[in-house]
Amino acid sequence: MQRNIPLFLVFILGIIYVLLTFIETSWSEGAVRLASSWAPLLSMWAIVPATYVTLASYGRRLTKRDRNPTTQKAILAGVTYVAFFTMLISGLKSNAEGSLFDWMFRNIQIPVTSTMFSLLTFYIASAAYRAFRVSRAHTSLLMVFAVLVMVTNTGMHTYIPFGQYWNEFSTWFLMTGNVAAKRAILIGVAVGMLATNIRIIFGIERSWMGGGA
Amino acid sequence: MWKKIFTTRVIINTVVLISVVLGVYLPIKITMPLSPEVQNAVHLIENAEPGSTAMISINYAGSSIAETEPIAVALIRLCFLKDVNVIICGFFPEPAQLAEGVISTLGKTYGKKPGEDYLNLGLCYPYDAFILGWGRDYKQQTGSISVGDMVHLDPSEYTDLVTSNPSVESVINSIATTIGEDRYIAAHLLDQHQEELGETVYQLLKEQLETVTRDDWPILQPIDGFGDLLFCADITGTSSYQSWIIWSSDYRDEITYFAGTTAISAPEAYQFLQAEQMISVIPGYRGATEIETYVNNQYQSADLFRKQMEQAGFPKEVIAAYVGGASRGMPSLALVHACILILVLIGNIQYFLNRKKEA
Repeated sequence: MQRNIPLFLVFILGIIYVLLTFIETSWSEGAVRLASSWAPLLSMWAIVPATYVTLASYGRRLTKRDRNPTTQKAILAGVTYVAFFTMLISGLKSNAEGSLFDWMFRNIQIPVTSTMFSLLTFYIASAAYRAFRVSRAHTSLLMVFAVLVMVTNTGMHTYIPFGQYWNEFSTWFLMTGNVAAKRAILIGVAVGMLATNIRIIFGIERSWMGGGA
Repeated sequence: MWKKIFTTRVIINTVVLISVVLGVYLPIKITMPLSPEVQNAVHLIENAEPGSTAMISINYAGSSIAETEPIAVALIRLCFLKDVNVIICGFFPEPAQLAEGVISTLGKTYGKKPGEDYLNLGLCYPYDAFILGWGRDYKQQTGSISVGDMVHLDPSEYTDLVTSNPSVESVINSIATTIGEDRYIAAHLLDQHQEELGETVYQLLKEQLETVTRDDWPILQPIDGFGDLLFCADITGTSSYQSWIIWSSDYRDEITYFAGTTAISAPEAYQFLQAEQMISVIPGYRGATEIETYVNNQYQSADLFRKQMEQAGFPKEVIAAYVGGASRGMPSLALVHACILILVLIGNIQYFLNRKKEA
């Protein structure tokens, strides 16, 4: 029963929504608009289970109910809990400029996330040195266009001869070759999503219900 | 021992670090002309009638702030210099908080009035509902629509309250002053002073705050939907710019849209540019530098901008972040990428030499 009701709802609503999308009447269009207005509002409630899952997951590590407990995991969980509740309580009190929440946001959260992201530079430099080998025709081609886009995107072309032509060629390539490849990927993803949605509507794909359904 | 310390990774990381630092301190100047993908957005603002209104959703967080905030600063600066009103919003909590800093700083610098010349709608979540709502004539929607945490208070409305209860005067004045300085915290101030104000006064003020609707803001008076906006733009470190394209698709004829993205996600945006679903793509530092250079050359030099910020009373660190924020980062960006290119070259030379040896 627990599984049949969601499956039934998904089937009925999925079919109705598909039909409504392809039937062009004023009431069907109204119904689609109503559904599209409701869907985002419902999705907002996902924050409730998401918070619960995060706290429960880190709570297990903190209370050593984890399958493979370690001190590092416990420390990480402790830091997560302290950070979460400090931000929550201070934010509920006030998030105005000059408040504790605002101070922590500007002086801890922003610098920490910026630092984490900037570390990528070092990884990318190291990975490029180790992994980028011009050993075959297609990797050579990749290298040529990577250099072209890199040089123009960083302004290096302003210091090299015929830099303006490099720039124009880079823009042309981004608008043609790049777009063709991106669209091919996008079409592939769209067809895949369509297939997955059909499987979900007809109850073939049930992993969305969780628990290895 | 030295071999253990100076591993390949350590050497690479040191080289990268040095190139970043050199980029900051060496007097390298990279000025870039407007590229075709950026100039449409700039020319749109340039040719706009004074008093027209643009909407910019700011959706970058700490991870991408270095690259995307200069885009926001350059764009809003150009808008203010051309007397284009700006409505700001954020689709996620972190960007919404950051957006307030950018718009209030630039608003104060250029002497713009909150609610009239610019407005921060605050957190607009769920964003899909927000975009759909703007597409339809929102004035036909029922009920009052909250405009984030921003509130509109006229001190004169509360004269009677002050007369009957003199102790609340200072609190009400501080709330009114806060509004006047474009802060969105009046509601929070109110909560903080709940006890002081007393339940009756508190409830009256709160009621006033909660009945604020979009129509209470002069900037929103002439706007019924996308067609009344000069443009909509999303400045983001994620793919949130695609949300605008998806959810405003029914209003494609009305909306003029472009996106400012990080350089890494820019190539993905070109497909929408080619399909004319966007008029421009502003790719990271490069795009920001192009607009910044253009604004500096055509409208207001960096020195004048700095002086104006100083006159507005901003501290040095804020001025340093806003004046030349984009072009200052370009040398580091160029040097690090040059390093990466050289490292790839060295890696490949080594690879071919090893292959020769093995053969």
